[in-house]
Amino acid sequence: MGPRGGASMRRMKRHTLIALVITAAAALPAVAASSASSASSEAGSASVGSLSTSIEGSSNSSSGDRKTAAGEYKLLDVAEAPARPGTLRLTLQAVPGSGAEGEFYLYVPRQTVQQHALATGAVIRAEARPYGLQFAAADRAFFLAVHDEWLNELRTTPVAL
Amino acid sequence: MAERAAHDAGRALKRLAAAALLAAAAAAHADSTGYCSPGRPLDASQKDVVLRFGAAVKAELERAGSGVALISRSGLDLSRFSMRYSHAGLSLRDSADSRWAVRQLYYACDDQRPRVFDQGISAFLLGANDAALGYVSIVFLPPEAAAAVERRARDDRAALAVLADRYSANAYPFALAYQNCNQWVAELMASAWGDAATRAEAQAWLQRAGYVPTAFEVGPMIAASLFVPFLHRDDHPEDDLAAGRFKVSMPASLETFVRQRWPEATRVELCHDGRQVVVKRGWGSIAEGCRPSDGDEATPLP
Repeated sequence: MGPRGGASMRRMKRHTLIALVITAAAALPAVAASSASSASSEAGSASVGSLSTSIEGSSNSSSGDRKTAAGEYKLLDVAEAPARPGTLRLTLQAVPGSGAEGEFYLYVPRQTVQQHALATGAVIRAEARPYGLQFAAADRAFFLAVHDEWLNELRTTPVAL
Repeated sequence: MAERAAHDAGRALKRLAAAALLAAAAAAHADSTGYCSPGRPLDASQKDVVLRFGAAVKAELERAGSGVALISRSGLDLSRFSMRYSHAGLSLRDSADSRWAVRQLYYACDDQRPRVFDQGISAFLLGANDAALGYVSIVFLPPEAAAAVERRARDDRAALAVLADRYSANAYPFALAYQNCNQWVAELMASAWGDAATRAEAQAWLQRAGYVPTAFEVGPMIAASLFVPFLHRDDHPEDDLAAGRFKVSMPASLETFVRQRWPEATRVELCHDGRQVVVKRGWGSIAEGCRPSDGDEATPLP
């Protein structure tokens, strides 16, 4: 390698050391710090909601049954939900032959509806998941309706005496 | 020509060093104005993946049936240090909020101090803030060892008795000045197995028991740590600093210690790559990139 090679190696080592320090220094605390500050908000985030309160039988549903089948639904209407500030009410109707059933309301944060440009006529796909249901439009998930016991799992609770 | 190139390289290196230090200093400055702010939040598709991975993790906890386990997750690229895991806690069955929760130390940004938190498995995994690739390692203790740790971990007073007032990501494990998340676990285990009532007693027991922390060989650039928030040097021994070394509690050092002390302990590692879950039983590691090897179980995300 000779002197030039040695100098080059030393430069490489210094370069690596700088990267190591920055990695160790900046990243180690970040993972701890961000977790504490962000995880507590997951339960109330714009993309996650309670299955039991986000889904409601529509006025046209035969039974008002809240059990929702996986499959494709047509978005019939996007309406205000005055009793739920910051939330819009989506009316979803089953697309025949897709496995979906009936008609129901899905309550979704306004921010999510706007972000995903959800509009009347869109086809919404509901997928069964261990945690509840995933709702997607144009192959992009926009909302997770989560069983209550899973929602509890999203909490971050400080231990105090 | 070669001299010119070397000169340019030297200047570039100096600029790099300066930029690195500036970046670190900027991070330090940002600490008072938002360094603790969460990163870019995961979108619904990403959370979907993490929650489904959580279902697989919970299935493993259910299968083992142990009331407590040492659980670690990835979340930070430490591959430069040949390390996969950065954060450990203790999983507890039938916690107040959920069937499976993790009791762990985080730096509480609002309070500007370390605190002990309970999180469900889902929140614990979402804390990694990465949905593309995730790893979890779970160590199940033999009944006698597990019972002692579970008793201490569930006892709020005991859990807080080994909590420090000040956080340092690179806390030296045998000093009382600071603590990081993994060190809290080490001291809690020490309080359980060594009947230690204080942090000092727990650390003394860890030393006697042969606990060996992870060594970060940083070299001369260890000086840069002065400019970075949450890193400290004043608790580390002079000879370590002179050698460019930080000794820190990490999930790997906790697992090694547990395995040495309790050879009957068992381990399972899980990972996902957004499509499938790979499970490896034993003390080996899943191949990089969450690729299954012979004997590993690979199934689609549930």
